[in-house]
Amino acid sequence: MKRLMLVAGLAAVACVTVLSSVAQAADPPQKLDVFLYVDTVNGSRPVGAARRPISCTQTNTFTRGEQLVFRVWGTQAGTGDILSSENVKYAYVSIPGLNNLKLNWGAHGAQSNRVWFWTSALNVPADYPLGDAVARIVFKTEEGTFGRYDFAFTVVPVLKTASLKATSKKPAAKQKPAARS
Amino acid sequence: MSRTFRFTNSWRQVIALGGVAAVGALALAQSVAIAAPQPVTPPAIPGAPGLFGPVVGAGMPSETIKTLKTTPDVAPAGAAVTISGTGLPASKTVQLVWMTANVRWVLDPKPDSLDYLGRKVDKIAVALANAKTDALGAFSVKFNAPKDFGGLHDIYALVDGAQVAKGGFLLERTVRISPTKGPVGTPITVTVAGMGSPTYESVGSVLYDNRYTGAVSANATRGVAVFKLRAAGGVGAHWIEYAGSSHTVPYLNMQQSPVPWTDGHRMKFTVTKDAGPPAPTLEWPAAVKPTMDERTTLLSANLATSSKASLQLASTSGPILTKVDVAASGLAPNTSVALQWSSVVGNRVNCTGTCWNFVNIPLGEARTGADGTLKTAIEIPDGLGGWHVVQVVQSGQIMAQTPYFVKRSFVSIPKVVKAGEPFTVELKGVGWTQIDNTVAVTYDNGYIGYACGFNSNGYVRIQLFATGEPGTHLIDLYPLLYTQQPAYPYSQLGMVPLLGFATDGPGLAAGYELPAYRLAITVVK
Repeated sequence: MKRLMLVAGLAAVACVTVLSSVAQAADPPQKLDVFLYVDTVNGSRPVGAARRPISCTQTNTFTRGEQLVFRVWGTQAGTGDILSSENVKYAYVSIPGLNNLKLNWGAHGAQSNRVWFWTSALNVPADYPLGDAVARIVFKTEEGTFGRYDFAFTVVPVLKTASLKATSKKPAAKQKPAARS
Repeated sequence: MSRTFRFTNSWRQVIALGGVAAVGALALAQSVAIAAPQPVTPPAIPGAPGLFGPVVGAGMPSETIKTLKTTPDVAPAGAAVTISGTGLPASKTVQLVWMTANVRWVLDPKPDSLDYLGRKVDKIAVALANAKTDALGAFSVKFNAPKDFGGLHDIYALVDGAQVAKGGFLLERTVRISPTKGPVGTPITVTVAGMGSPTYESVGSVLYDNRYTGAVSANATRGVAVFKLRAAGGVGAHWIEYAGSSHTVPYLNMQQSPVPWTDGHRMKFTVTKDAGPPAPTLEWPAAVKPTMDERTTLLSANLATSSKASLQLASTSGPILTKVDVAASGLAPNTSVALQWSSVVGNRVNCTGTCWNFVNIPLGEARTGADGTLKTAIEIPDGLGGWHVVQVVQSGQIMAQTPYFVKRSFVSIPKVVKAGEPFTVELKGVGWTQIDNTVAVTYDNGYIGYACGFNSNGYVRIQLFATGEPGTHLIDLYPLLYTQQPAYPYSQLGMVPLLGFATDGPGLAAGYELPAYRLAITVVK
């Protein structure tokens, strides 16, 4: 009987161990020192593309020449302090093939509704590779802790004919202005 | 050996069939419980491009990644392209990989139906080229843009398996028609290259003179779609628009979307004359070898466990009333056997519970020879189309069975109809699954509705009205996927004409040979 219980006990332990291992392998816990939120918006001063009708709206798709603005908010996990120029040693964005972009702490928005966060603007180079790119956002606090976040965005070409392609070679007839009543 | 063959409906046979049906119902319940949706391997489509290189690992990003220069980086398939990089590890072999995808249809095979559940996209990396960096870490290599799914493709340079640089390329969509002029009814071949693999780039829609004709996909053909329309309308210019789509219908401001390269292409076709209505024809899909073994009404659980009998049919597909020679062996000698047809009866209308059931249709009786063989012939019943099973029943047990596909057939259409008068188009052999229970109807290339054959046991009588100016008017019937489920992102292509049915449709993998009907009438005053 004792032997039977021993075997059953070992089996139970083994089972728990296996389940635990599976759980860890599937989703290993990770301790973070810094929490980061990242998004991107279209900037109001593109140098190589037409300005969009509305600026500073969230998007992760940019044509070459458009202005991409990273916006970052952060918190120290241990203290709950907001990451600002007072407790951050340095912060930057690393993008494949480009020099690192320094993130700047500042106030944004209308005077009556100022919001403080980190920003950095990139004018997407005219020859930047098409497709998906991953920007790495890095923070180092004065305490020596690090925060890191990978943010994906897509670069698309400026297409010459973003409209119907007609095979007719004749130019479209000019439309007569409507008669005014 | 061969014995006489005659239809019987004896009580013994009815009781025996009832028992078989009961066993079938039990087996069905078990099978339904274990059936699971699955992405199906596409069959080899004649003429369709294959994967242009071997699938390889995409590598892991290195700590710092450079960029690659691709010239040009927007071009159609076949264009000469140069890709180069600098500042990479010196004197190293560089493997360039092209990011793309494989796309498969997702089907849910069941003994009593075959459901369409959408498509599955698996991202893959394909070896594009190899190069070697010089002493300064630079390289340059040329390649031709591959025939592949259109849209954006990331390109990575791998050194020792790690991504050291990243480039990109936009494979442009091209659309052309041939011919560009001809009389009413002229078949127009539309060739599209560069349809994408992601949801919003994977469907094209056709407008004919601003009337919706149907949708096109190119999942099994790596972004290449070749399909036919027919020239409709009066003498003069007509416009065929191949529009970018997401959910089956045109996305009319695609240029404002994140995928503006899938915007519309518009082509002119000139109708030169009305030479009268062309004769009715059926356009069949490409002959392919199915990749799925599952067949509706085929239940291995129904077979007698002790049976070693086998059954062969002289043909495995044909229209209703086809005579098919049957040969079987391994049966008990010198005994009577019943041949039966396994089918279903019911419908999907307002369906909330059990909506259709298995039924067996007697095909006749025969007698085995002294060696346990059987040779006889059957006639395919005038009923539902699609996959059915022929079974040999001996002593109340199913000893052998083999599937048979009933092809759709054309019955009638009037030649001349007065404008404003009704007329009917009749078909037979329409099936019951989500793949084959319905036909989509266009009138002069404008989609007007669908017709279903399940409740009417495969016989479809489409009620239409003659409209338009006196002359030839075209009625085309296309395969259709009978579904508005499930939800996004798998909702494309339900309930509309599948214009690209001949080379890309979920039924091809399962052996469904579904044609387009090319019909016409003359409208008179």
